[in-house]
Amino acid sequence: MPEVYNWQLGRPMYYPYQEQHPREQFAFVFNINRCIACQTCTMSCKSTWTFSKGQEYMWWNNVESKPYGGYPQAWDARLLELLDQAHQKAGREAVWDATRRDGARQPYGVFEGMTIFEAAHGAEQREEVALGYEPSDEEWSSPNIYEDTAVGQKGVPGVMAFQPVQLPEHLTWFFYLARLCNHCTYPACLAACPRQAIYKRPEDGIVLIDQERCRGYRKCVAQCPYKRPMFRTTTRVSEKCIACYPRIEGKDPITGGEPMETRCMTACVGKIRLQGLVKLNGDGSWAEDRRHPLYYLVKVEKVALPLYPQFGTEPNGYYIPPRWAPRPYLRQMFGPGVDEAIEKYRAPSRELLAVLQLFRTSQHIIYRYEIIEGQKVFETTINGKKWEMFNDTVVGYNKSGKEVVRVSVEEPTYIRPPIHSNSI
Amino acid sequence: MNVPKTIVNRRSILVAATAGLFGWLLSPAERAAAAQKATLLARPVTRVPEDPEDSLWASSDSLDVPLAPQAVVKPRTYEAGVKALTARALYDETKLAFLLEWGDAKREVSIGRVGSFRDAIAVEFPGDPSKGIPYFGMGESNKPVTIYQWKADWQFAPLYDVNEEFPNMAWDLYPFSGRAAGEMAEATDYGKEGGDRAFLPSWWAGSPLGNPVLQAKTPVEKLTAEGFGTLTSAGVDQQNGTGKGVWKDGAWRTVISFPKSQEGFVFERGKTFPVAFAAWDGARQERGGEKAVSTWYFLSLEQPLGPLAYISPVLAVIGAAAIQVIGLGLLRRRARQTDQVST
Repeated sequence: MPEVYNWQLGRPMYYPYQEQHPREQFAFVFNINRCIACQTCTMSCKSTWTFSKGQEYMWWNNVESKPYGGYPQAWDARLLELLDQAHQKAGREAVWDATRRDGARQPYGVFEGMTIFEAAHGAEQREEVALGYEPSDEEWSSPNIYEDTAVGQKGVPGVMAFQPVQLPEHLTWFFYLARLCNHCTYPACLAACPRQAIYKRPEDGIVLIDQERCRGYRKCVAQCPYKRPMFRTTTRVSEKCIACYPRIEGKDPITGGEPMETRCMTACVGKIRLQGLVKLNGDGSWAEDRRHPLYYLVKVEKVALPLYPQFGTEPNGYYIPPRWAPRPYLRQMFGPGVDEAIEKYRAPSRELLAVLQLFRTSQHIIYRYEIIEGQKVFETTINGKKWEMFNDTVVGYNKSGKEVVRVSVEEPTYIRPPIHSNSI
Repeated sequence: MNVPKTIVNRRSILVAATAGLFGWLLSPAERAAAAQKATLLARPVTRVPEDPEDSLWASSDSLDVPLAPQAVVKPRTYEAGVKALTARALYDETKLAFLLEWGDAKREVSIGRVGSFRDAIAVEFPGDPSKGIPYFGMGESNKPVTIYQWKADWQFAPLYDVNEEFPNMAWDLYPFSGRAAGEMAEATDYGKEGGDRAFLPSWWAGSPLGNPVLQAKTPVEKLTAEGFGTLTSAGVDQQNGTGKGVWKDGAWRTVISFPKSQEGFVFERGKTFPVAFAAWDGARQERGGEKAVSTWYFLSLEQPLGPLAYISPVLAVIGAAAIQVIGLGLLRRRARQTDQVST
């Protein structure tokens, strides 16, 4: 039984293929705190890749309102339920030992439960590679169902909690979760395909479905925990997010041959998104790259966390969790690193505040940043501690080392003279 | 005449032998049935019938094939929809045709939904019999198998998709389909002037599954495999199978026919070839490895009846009669001698 090392779980795990890693890995960080669910990302993807016959229901990128929304409906709750049943049957618990944190190999501790691969062994009728289910057509429709639907008072259906909104947790709450394919390190879609029609590119870790080899068995649809492969009735095969790979390869003329962020990333109005390519060591760990914005956010500051790491696919999408949502819900969704991540985000360090300014500022993929220190502009108290803000400037560089963005913490302002105050 | 018991017994043996000889010559199908039935005899005909309801099939040999769920590799199935099928085969100068009959309570012929799966049936044989018999489950490395699969959706609903399944759906425009705003597009439009097949990437990449033009021509796909997970379509230009299925009263009757001349060999008269079968029940969401399969059976292509075939039974009958007459004569002589000695 092949074993691979999953650093998000802090332990080796079962996976049907030998461990092998790309040179670089497509990855992204989304700051949920800033998302306004404008769906510009969703539409930019739709208008680029999924506007043809048979793709009507496909949204390779979507934004859903949590906790009730989901595309397909209740995708995460359904899989969590299946996992729960598998754990109960095996007499095990899906718990983390967060005390066993140990450097980059165990940054969140150790997950002691079963992943979707490990839980699949107990399946009864059709023995599959990973635990999963096939959503119905009805579940795939209404992609934005339960938009803006908040959780009400605990134990009182249909009634909102009218107490004053107060951190750390709002009593009436929801948040937006923008999602696309996580181009996982150990993709369940790839593992599930009985005919190796799905592959992970050695140059950038992008996971693709070979349209010639796919025979539409829909095993990837069933076993991808994030439900990103989608079946197309006109071609009778499955399709999925391709991470806009021509842009990643620098084929788009706008960046003159330099790697470029995907459509959904560059379209982000709320500036919640930062996407890039991280260098990997041979064992799959992230190569030390201190001034890489993604490396800094995920590995150094640990402010961005993987989505449902317990599924076991080692997803490469990372989220800065929403600071107002109940912690148990967030821990279930992002693992035991949630409390620390929120603490760091609520009172950001000088460096974090500067790096957060890089989000959605250039179509170029940023490979490195530098910070030019500025003056102190603000001071307050957060959690009883003094917090100071400095107007630092962050400079982003592309793959060739060329400066592609320069932005300061405080936005430059311009006061319009009174004569034009009513002009549009 | 008082004939002793021994003589009666010997006489009956001879009669039975003669009758057996007649039986062997006159009814090859029954002869095959009498043995352990693992061989299907394909009879020669002037032209193989493409229609499962053609009367020619009634006189053909039949082989009952039990099927078992595929449980060797993941995804494993421990209970499959189709439990058995009946196979018949005929051939002509150029083609070999199978009639396959199996019970299936629910007819599944369209893939308009994400959760829809087709009924299907397949015939498999070694791609190169000179290399020996490969493993029946999709062949093995360097011992390929050739598969012809009939797909219900290719025959009945090749263009059935979202707008047929959801007739009240809304759409504004299908760019690169060649259709104007407000006009419904079909998959075939993308291959016509004004359309662009790049927007049906499976078709563009050369897969027969995404090719609605091919599917309008034949419901049978030719494939090869060298082990589990290696199934590869023969390519659009190499597709030479034809077929037709009819569903009636809870059963499919489907003809799959293809050229006797294959890449590595020819289905020659007088020779025997391994054949295996697989069936998919769409209503049970069977697809790919989730299917009912058989092990190898044998297909024997019966020699056509030349002049010798008509003369040889006559000669055999005469010969048998002569043996009988001589034999009886000898017995009578012996009996007479015995009578004389005893008196």
